[in-house]
Amino acid sequence: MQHAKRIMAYFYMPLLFLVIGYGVFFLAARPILDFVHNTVHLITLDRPPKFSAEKTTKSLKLVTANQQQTLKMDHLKLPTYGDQFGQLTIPAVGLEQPLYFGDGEQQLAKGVGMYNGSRFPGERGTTLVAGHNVTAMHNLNQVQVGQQIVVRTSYGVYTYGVTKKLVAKYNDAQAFDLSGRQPKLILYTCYPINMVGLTPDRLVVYGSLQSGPIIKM
Amino acid sequence: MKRFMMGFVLAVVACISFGLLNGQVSAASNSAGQSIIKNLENGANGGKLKVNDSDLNQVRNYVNSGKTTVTQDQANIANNAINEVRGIVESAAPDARTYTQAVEKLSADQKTQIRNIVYKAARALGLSVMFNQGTAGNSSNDTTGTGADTPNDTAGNAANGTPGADGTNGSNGTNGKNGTNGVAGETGANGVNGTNGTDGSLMPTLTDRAGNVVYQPASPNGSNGTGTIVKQTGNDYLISIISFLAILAVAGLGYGLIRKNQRVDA
Amino acid sequence: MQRTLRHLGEGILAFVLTFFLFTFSVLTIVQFTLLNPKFMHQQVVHSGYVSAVTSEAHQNISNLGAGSGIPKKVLKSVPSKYNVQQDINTFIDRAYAGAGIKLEATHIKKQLRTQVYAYARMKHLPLNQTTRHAVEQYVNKSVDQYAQSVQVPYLIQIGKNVQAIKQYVLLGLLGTLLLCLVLGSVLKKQVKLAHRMWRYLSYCLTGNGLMLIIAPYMLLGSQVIDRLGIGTKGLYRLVTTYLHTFVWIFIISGLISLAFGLGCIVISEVRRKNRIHRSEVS
Repeated sequence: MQHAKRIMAYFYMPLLFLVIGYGVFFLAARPILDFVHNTVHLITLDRPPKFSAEKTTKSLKLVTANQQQTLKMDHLKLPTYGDQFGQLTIPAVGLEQPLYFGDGEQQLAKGVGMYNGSRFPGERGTTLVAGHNVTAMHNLNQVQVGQQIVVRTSYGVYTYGVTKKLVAKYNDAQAFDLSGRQPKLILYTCYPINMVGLTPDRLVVYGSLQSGPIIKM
Repeated sequence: MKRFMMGFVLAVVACISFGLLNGQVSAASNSAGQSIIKNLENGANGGKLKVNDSDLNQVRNYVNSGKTTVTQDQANIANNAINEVRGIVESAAPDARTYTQAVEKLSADQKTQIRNIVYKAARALGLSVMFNQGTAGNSSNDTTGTGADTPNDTAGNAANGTPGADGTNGSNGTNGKNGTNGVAGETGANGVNGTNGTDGSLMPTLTDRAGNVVYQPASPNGSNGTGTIVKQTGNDYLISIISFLAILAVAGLGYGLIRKNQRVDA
Repeated sequence: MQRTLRHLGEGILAFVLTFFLFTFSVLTIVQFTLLNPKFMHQQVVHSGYVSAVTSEAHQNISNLGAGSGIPKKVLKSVPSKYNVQQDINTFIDRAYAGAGIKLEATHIKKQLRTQVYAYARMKHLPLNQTTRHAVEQYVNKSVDQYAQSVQVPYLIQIGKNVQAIKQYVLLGLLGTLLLCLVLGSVLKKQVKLAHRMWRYLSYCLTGNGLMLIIAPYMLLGSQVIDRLGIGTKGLYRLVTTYLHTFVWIFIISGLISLAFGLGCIVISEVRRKNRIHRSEVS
């Protein structure tokens, strides 16, 4: 009996020390642990981040013809950042590029990107789309007023008429004004088109909506 | 048999309720999310200070995304956070009409407070803060000035108009360049530039739990400053000190017990 | 009853000794890892951070080039891995010293100017003042991007904190070591029988070992470290490698402590048997 008690003590004593020790340690280190606890949930994701260069575009189906004049927001599945959700075409100059949600480097390397702080085509507001002058928008300077821009998305086809074309500074708030309830499109790229180096100028093309289903809440 | 029937009825009722509720939840989550947008659209200072269209649109796009469900509880937390931030801004900068003007007037403490409120709201909405290379304000190749983190005494600059105070701005790397401008006498502008350096630090990049970007700050500098999430106060460390003393007291107790009950053992 | 209370007192002393031994172990590990720039250097090598940063810096500079009318192929050798390694090492050393760094990156500026102007001449592009100014803007912005790629976020802030708490950690180390020695000698003096002293020592060492193992193991199991929200691959690998290694050091130290504890158990039992044998013989 004594022997058993002695042997058992080699197990339960360290375990007891473990439990009480952790209790005291957590109490003593509470300021640091509170900080860690508050931070950990904020800076972690549900699963490890992915770094694959390509975001898988699972069988994107673009609408060919509009079925309705209005669409309800509840019924739409809007994309998340980095998804391709459409195609931008300017038939007059032969520009045809995949359209992504988000205008980060990954998106601009593959096509044109819609600024995630602007409105989707069809919403009452401005859609701001960027592209590199060396690649996707190398012939944007050939666009003329009156020509058409077609944006095919997964929920509708939108046609814009070019209303204006100008050169503006990158930080010109008026040129890139996102306010207003009229559905409109702004395309921009670095200017001059064939210059090397960082330029503060942007070639900006404006389009107003001619046809396409309006998205309602 | 009776219990089985009751269980079956309960299960059917649960399924029907769940089905009905599901439909309602989508509508509820949409209206819960919309309440956040409406609250943001109100801005601050009686509507004089408006939330940027780009920021508002990013919130709209997140709320309206097919993969987002905002519950009423989450919306309440987010709205409370917006109201809290509005209160701070309205008390510090009642006449501000732009972000820059508002941030200029905020003290370092208030900025930290706002950041903490935003983090709290982000946690409640199930968002994460994404860190990238270039986070933490090192947006230039010269971080030697990042040393002492001396707060920019913009009020002092404005009051004294002393070019010497430009050096304070200079301690923030990027701001140092602006400090040169201040020598030309534009000390007020230095304050603004210094604030711009931390402008980006008020809002980091937020992502959903899967890592998809939800919000990116539109600050031209785009640098996210350092800063602790939770401030340590003297009271917190008091507990640590008490615990340490308690441990020593326990050791003393143990020693006392041994001495008191000592006997000569074989 | 008296015996029980005495044993209780000895147990309490042993527990307090375990607690301070644990604190000493934690502080020692922190001293040789978190507060030691060599540990960071090792993790940089271990995680392949230099290659990742070289690749990311190249990508950033190329992306900037794409926005500046410069195709990717023009910039393919910028920056070089050797220069990146030098800059990272310097940055870490300076950060841990609590100072910042002014990255001149003259090697990058020179390379970029040479390659961009060569491309412009090849394409017969006008090299007027406007173009030269634009190219300089691009070069400076590229250096900024490069600096961002090299600088580990928050490391400068961490370095300053390290400088601030280094002396306190050292004091804490010495203080807890002293307390351990004092408590150990008090316990030894009070516990008359040698085999009992080994027994209590085994409790302390195995308790310490368990405390060093359990929480870190649970942390690894929860995969919190792998789920950190870090958007750049190189930085993600550096931070996760660093944290994994840091946590594993706790676990290995715990296992070593457990091994010593087991050794003390064996010694205690052997000495106890010898004592019983001696008393039976006499």
